[in-house]
Amino acid sequence: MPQLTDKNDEDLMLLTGKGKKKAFEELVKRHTRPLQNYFYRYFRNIEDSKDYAQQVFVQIFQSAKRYRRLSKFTTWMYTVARNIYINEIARRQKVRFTPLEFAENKGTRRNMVEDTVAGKDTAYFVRKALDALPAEFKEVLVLQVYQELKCAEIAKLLKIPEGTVWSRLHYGLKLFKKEYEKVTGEHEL
Amino acid sequence: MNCKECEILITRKVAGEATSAEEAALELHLKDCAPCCLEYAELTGAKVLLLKDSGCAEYPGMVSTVFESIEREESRYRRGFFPRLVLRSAFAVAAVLAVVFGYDAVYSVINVSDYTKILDFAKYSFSGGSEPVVKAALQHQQADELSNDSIDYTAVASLENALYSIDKHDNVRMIAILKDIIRRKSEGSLSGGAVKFFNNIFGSGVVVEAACNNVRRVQDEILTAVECEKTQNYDDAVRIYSGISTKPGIDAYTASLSAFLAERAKESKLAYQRSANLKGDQKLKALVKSLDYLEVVKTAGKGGTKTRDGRFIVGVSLSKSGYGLESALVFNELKNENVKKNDKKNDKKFEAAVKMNLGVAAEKSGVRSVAAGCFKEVNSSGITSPVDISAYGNYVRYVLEPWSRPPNIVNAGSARVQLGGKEMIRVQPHGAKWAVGEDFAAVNMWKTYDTFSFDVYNPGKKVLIFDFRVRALPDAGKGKIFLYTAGVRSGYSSVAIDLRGATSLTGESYRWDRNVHEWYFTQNKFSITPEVFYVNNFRLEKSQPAAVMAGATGG
Repeated sequence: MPQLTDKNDEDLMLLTGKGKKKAFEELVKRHTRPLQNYFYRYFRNIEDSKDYAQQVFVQIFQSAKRYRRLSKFTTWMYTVARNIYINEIARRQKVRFTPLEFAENKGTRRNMVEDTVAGKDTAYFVRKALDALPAEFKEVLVLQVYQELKCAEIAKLLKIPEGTVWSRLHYGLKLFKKEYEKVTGEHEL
Repeated sequence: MNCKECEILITRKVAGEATSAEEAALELHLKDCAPCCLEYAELTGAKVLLLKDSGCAEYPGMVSTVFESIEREESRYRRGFFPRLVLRSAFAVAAVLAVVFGYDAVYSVINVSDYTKILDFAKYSFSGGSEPVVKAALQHQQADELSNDSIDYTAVASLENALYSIDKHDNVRMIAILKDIIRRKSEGSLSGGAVKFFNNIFGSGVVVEAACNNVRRVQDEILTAVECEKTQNYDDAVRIYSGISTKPGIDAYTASLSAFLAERAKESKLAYQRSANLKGDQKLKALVKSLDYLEVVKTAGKGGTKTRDGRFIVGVSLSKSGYGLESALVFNELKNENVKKNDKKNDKKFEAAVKMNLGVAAEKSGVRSVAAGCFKEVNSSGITSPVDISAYGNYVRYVLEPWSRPPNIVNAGSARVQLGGKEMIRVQPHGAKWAVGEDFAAVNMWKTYDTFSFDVYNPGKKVLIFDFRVRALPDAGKGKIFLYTAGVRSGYSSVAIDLRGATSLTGESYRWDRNVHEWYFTQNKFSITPEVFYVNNFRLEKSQPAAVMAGATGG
């Protein structure tokens, strides 16, 4: 009898829909890190990333009965994740009247922690450069490079033509390179 | 292969999605093409760099945390508390209440502590699925008696559970009731309040949407038909609805729902045809019923249909003028456009605006607890209440200030007139006096004040839209300008424009630390009749005494 670890994501999801919690446990184990990192690339906060990843899993579990094998599980999962990200961004933008000094202090403090942890190594500059990219380019880079999604899946997820994904990937990489040179240059100065 | 084609292959190769044939072709081209080699090196280098960031470490306790959350959610579900359903459910329940008992009953059941009616209602309508509702209502009754609290919200929450019971057990009953109301309406045996409320609910599409959610099997078809109705293709809508109801093997609930919707589409068609011969509010109501939202906007504000911004202004103006439902329709249209265009940026904002204005409509209809539910939902969404227009302009609040004496326009031909015992300044944008304000502001340091306030009288029956502008430098085109576009309802209003957080036309914070050179207001380009309005009593306000804006002059 095949083990749960041998099954693919879609099969596990169908089993989850039939009430097999062990199957869902396996899915959570497989995708915790990628999902956490997906959110981390946007929010740069480990605690938040953990919470959002958890939200995604809860939503997926609740929708398991409705799951149909129409697309890859990861495409669906990142669609849920992306919706949570978009909602969160919208919510954060709506929170107004935060005293300026506080907001600045908070940011500074977080940056200080990050700087210490990162020790201003390559990864630190990569993050800086990635964060400086326009959202549409960053999104494609994150999904393609880090989340390892195929461009066709990204197109489906973002509801844009596949050609647009290719072009965003191409120019995104070039832009990233430029930004990277810029941030490392600034640091040297 | 040329370099352009090679560029595509390079990206495919870097993404790891190139086929072996593509890789071979790429290799061949790179041998002879230095620029493409550089391009390849650049993209590969970028990807290698990106991969140097390995992200954060995995949270080890995710599995248990996720299952704990799921357990929590499930226990909430078992308790029967569904906050997300509050708006939809409360409206639908109120509609059913209106149908069963009439408008007065809705008002009295929801606003007055009359649990007997709620209990009777639950027993009457939801036999078989109502025990939990009855229990919940009794518990709320006891709790409220102890705390001497208002029952509004808890009663609605109980009824919300009742609606959930309908979803689960007795949908046919709900539709039967709705059909009954249509029959009673056509017979004229329904109270005016009930008709009004019923129309409001149906105009908003809330019940239809809820019903659609119940019949997912044919949901797409129903939504297509609704789209047909919205584009005034009523015949197709009727055909689709009727087709569903006669489908072989269709369940009784779906059949009765689609038959009901077909009937509604016929009514919409009639309303649309009738609207051509109507004017003013009557026309607006007929158009709302016919789901012709664009025409609603046109009727509400001439010229406001061409751009999204224009329609947004109309939406805000309608909202501020108390036309809650109409405003909700405008925002709903904008929201749908955003969804179509996948423009997520403003979805939330418009959604909140829709809900907020539905709340206004409910409040207007006297169903205050339903309105409270809407407002509560808007507040909990974290979006600035009542309608977040911060990205478009600046927040304004309106206070209705009925004057003791009725308006009595004297000497309307001059710049200053007597209205209701007050001297007011006449603004006639398309006449000699195109603007009112001060070329050289008497009070030129506005930094210390919170609001700019004034009284306004709109002699027309429709919303008046005007622009208020402040400029720090004298010449047009120089310096950042603060522009606020607002709508004023018919009659007298006191307007306060919030100066804090004001933004310039370019979206930056307006700097009130600079001396104000001039301020004035005039009608907006989307303006509608009347073309004349009256203003007075300008004041800059804060906690400290008001500074009177002396000597406002025509521009």
